Amino acid sequence: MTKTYHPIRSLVWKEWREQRWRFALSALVLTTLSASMVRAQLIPTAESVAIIFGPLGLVLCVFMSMGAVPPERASGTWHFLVTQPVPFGRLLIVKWAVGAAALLSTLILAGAAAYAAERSHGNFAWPPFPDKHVDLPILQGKTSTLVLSMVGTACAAFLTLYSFMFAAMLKARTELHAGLAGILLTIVILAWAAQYPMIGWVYHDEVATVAWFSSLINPLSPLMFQFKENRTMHALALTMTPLVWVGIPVVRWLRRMREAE
Amino acid sequence: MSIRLSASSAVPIYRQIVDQVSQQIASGRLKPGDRLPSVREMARALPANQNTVLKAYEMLERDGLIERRHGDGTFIAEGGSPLRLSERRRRIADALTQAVVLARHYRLSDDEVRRALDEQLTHFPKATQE
Amino acid sequence: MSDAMIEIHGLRKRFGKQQVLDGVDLTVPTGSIFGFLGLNGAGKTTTISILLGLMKANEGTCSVAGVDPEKDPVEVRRRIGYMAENQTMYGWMRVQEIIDWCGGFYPTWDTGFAMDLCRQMGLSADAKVGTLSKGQSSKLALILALAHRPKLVILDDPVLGLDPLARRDFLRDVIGQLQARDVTVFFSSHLLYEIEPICDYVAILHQGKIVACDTVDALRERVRCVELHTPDAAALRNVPTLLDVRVEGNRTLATVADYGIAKDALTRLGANGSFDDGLNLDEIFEAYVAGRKEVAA
Repeated sequence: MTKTYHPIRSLVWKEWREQRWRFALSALVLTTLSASMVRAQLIPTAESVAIIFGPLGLVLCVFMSMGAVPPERASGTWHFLVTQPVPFGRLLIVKWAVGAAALLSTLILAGAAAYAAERSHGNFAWPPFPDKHVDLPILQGKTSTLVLSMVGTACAAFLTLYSFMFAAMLKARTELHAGLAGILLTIVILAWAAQYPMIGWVYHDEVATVAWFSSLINPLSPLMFQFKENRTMHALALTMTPLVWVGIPVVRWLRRMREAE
Repeated sequence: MSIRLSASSAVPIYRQIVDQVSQQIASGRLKPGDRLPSVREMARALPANQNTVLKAYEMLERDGLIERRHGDGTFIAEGGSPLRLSERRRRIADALTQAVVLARHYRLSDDEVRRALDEQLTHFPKATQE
Repeated sequence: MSDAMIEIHGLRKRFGKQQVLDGVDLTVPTGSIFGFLGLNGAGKTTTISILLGLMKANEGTCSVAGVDPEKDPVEVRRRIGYMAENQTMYGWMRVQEIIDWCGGFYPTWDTGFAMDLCRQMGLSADAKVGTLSKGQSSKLALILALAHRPKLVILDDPVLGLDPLARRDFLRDVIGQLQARDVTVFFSSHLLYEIEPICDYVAILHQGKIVACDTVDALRERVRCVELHTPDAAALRNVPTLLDVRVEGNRTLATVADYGIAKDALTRLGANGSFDDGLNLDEIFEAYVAGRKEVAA
């Protein structure tokens, strides 16, 4: 009898075989885009990089997380997978880890491409919006530190976002549902984040408009307007918002669990 | 050897196997000394539960229709009339029941039925006892 | 290990307000082919999910191949073979690949045995899983459920969606590959007459309870349909083990679950015994799940 027992290898192999095209596509698009944008110098380098690591990174998060569980649910292989003798947690961790690895490699590849393009031509500046820049003298002229910190920040931020989306999409029945949920989630997160500038940390007219509309989805916005003058209280009310958004579903879920018992 | 199971019948599966094997013996399609498939082969071919086939084979063996030679297989038993007298009587009664039901349905008198039966009996020459 | 491969006691499961399983008791003897029957939505798949440790019961205990699935679901799944209703496997894998892939999860996997079974059942190792016909897919699923040589195989409505030829072929494999190897088979289905010849035992699950559980022969022996000429509704209600009453013209047909017990009461009501018919499994099932004890006015 051949010795074949290696559950993690099986799980990783399958995940890699299923995700490799997704990874190849996103790596190709992001690397080409970042290299060519930086190289072409149509807009300042830092802005190009900010676009790559900003909106495109968000899209990448949605793209990567929606490929993990929803396609398996849609095709019916999910049941086949969860009935194998593997702890459910281990199965999810492998799925999460393969997606996370693909996401991080894509970001690092795109960063490396931008860096290479930058070294061959053009200049690199921090922060991404030079006219409103926050002075960080430590980074002045240190391109490699700059790229590293940008890639590092992007990796950390998008890994968190990806994990959040991965969890949110576990129940999605098709990839389309998951994609829509991911886009909705991104909009909510962005709109929520846009409310911070209302406090007056960074002020743009456009951002203020977005912030005003986004406060409509914020259950604590009356509180925020109440404390508009008090920065600390305003920030506190804003920070409590996610607690409300997360808290309500958790309480409902707990109540349903208690009913079931 | 061909046996067809009818699952929608009220006759139990093992009974269907017994009936069909004994009918095929009576009609001469299975001859003494012919080899029957093993329980496993038969169960797979039908398909039916091995225990059901085993039960049928045991009944056939008890009735003296087949004999199992250890290590050699199952064979149609040699000699004699394959069916016991009681069994033969039961079969005839079954067949006649159908005829009588039809006769009642068509409102034929008892005499007419008896006459029809006599006619049939004279029509077919008596088979010589083997 | 005891004589029972599966033992279930007082299993209850509720989804919200819906009581899906309402005290299920079941014993599956080792070495038997056990038919688990029920209408769609009767709770067959829920029961199987609990047996596999995919779901937790609200009440009750079960033991599958000597293991409590709630405590150790992974060990249960290692010990048994399972084939889901309409099982979908990874279409992009080749037959050889999916065998190796599944093998990764079982310490006792025997790839050589799996490949032998493929040859016997006419599956090519190079074929893409996605290109197999429904019949071939179910063969492959059976091979994957068998290759770690389990002592118990749970098949959840495996003939669902197969054409009659493929169904017969599949049942042949169940007899030839499973029963011939002394594997206990727990087989859920709603196609009764198809699986009747295959089963040693059947259990009928209805509205979350096991309403009948016996050998096929015993069930056929005891469930009878009796013809009466006096449709006395009140008297009929006192017949023990009554399942169903139907009035057809001037005849009344009463179906009882245990003819031995009910015979005297029926004779008193004027049954003469000559039309006491045995029933086929379909009719027995119908009497249990759709039987009405009241005579329609």
